[in-house]
Amino acid sequence: MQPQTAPSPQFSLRPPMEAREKFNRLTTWVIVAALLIWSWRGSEMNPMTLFRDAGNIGTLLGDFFPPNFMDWRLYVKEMLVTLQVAIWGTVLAVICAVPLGILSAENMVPWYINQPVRRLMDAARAINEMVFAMLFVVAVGLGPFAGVLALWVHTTGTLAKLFSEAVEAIEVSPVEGVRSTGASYVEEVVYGVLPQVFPLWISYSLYRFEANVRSATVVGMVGAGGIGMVLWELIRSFDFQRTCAVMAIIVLVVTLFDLISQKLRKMVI
Amino acid sequence: MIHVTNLNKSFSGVKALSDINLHIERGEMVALIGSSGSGKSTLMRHICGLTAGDRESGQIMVNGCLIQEQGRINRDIRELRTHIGVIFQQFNLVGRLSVARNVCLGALSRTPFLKGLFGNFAKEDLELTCKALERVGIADKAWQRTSTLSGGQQQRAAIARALVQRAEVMLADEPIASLDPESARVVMSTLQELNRTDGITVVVTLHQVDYAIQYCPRTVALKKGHIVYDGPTANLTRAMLKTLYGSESDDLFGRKEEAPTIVQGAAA
Repeated sequence: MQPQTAPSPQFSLRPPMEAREKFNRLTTWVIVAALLIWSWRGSEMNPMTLFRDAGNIGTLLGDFFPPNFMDWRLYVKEMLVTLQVAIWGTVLAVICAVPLGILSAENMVPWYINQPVRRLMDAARAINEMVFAMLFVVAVGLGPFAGVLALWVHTTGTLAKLFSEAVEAIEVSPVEGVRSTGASYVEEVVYGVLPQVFPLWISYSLYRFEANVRSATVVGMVGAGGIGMVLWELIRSFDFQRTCAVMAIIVLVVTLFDLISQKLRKMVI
Repeated sequence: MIHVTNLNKSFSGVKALSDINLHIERGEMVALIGSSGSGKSTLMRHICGLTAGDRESGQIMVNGCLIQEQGRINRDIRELRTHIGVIFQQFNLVGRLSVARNVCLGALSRTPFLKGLFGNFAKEDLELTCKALERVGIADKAWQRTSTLSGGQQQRAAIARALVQRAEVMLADEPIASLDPESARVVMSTLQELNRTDGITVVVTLHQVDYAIQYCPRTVALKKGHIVYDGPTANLTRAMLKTLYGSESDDLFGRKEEAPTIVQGAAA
């Protein structure tokens, strides 16, 4: 006698679908399609202009070439300032995100601590660094320091969330082991939690540094120092050949730092 | 040394421990046996103050100090835990730290706060760590990352950590359940040696009676949260276990009397 579960010629890897499942799947597709159409209207999508104004775009692109590297000394100097802004913005954020990350982890502190800290971090993360940069320019004046502050606040929000997620994914058994020796709460965190999350934290910090090198190039546009300021001046004066040179330098440096940080991240994990 | 009186514990309405009374004298080596779910690990966690009993419980005293009373854990529990070494089934070591550092963590509670934070342990404690590693026979692994050790070696590192704690009581919760027979033998012999030469009181939970017979003079048997036997291990016979545990008793012996028969039709 043949058992009923034996593979038949029409064997399928998926279990047979019920009518309700079929309906659910259809509904999902309808919702996705509706969302796409709705957003198309709102964002005034008009692909035809790309073809109609192809000539204009061509002329604009033409204006970019050949790039003008006459003032390359200035660009390199400002690019270095941008990097310096990214470095300090990230370092300050990492320092603040360590305690804040632990304070917003569910398994480390009671809800009446982690919930307020989380909401604060949400706020720091929700506002783009450009907005913070504009505010800090008003507060501390034009210049790179405003950029550092902007990156600091925004990155703290992002890193605290990533750090706390790493903390929430730890194993409890080593922590319990440390606790069983009679250690205090802070010692439990230092010896039971930190060694477990350390590689992940380093990796997240480096990833944010990459992102901050990119962000630091734009915070300058609102007056917070670095290459962004130069870029903004050039674009405003329609000097596209020099703009092209600056963009080339940005692409070069950002790519370089992405590669370096990728290598470092592979090393720590 | 360990006095548990009228301990009760229920998890969401289900009784895990009911009216446990247990008294263990200094220098004893006691086996706590029972099949899985019988409450032996729960009892252990209560004795070291990691879990609180129900409100209608008595006291748990270890070494003359109150651990918990009527479901409330003593506020100075962190200090009291220093004197109780706990050995866990999953070793509970910090995998990314070196073996030596894990063992030295046993000295944390008597290290000043800032020194402990920066891993600046006292010279005596470093010497004690070195000695403890030698005693359990893994001195050659001192600088290795703990996660690279075998299960048996990790368990011995955990015992060394309890030694550095200068624990007078060792609670070993299923210390050999995830080890191969040879490593299990080494771990049990290490515990026995500490019990005999240092007079450390050892309580070890096991789910195989064989090891209890070999290493522990006294056995406490648990079944569904009740103590069903407490006395010399020598008096425990297979027939007696059969009456205590019924069909479960096969589980308690490592070696089965007969090979399991192949389930009919499974190969079809």
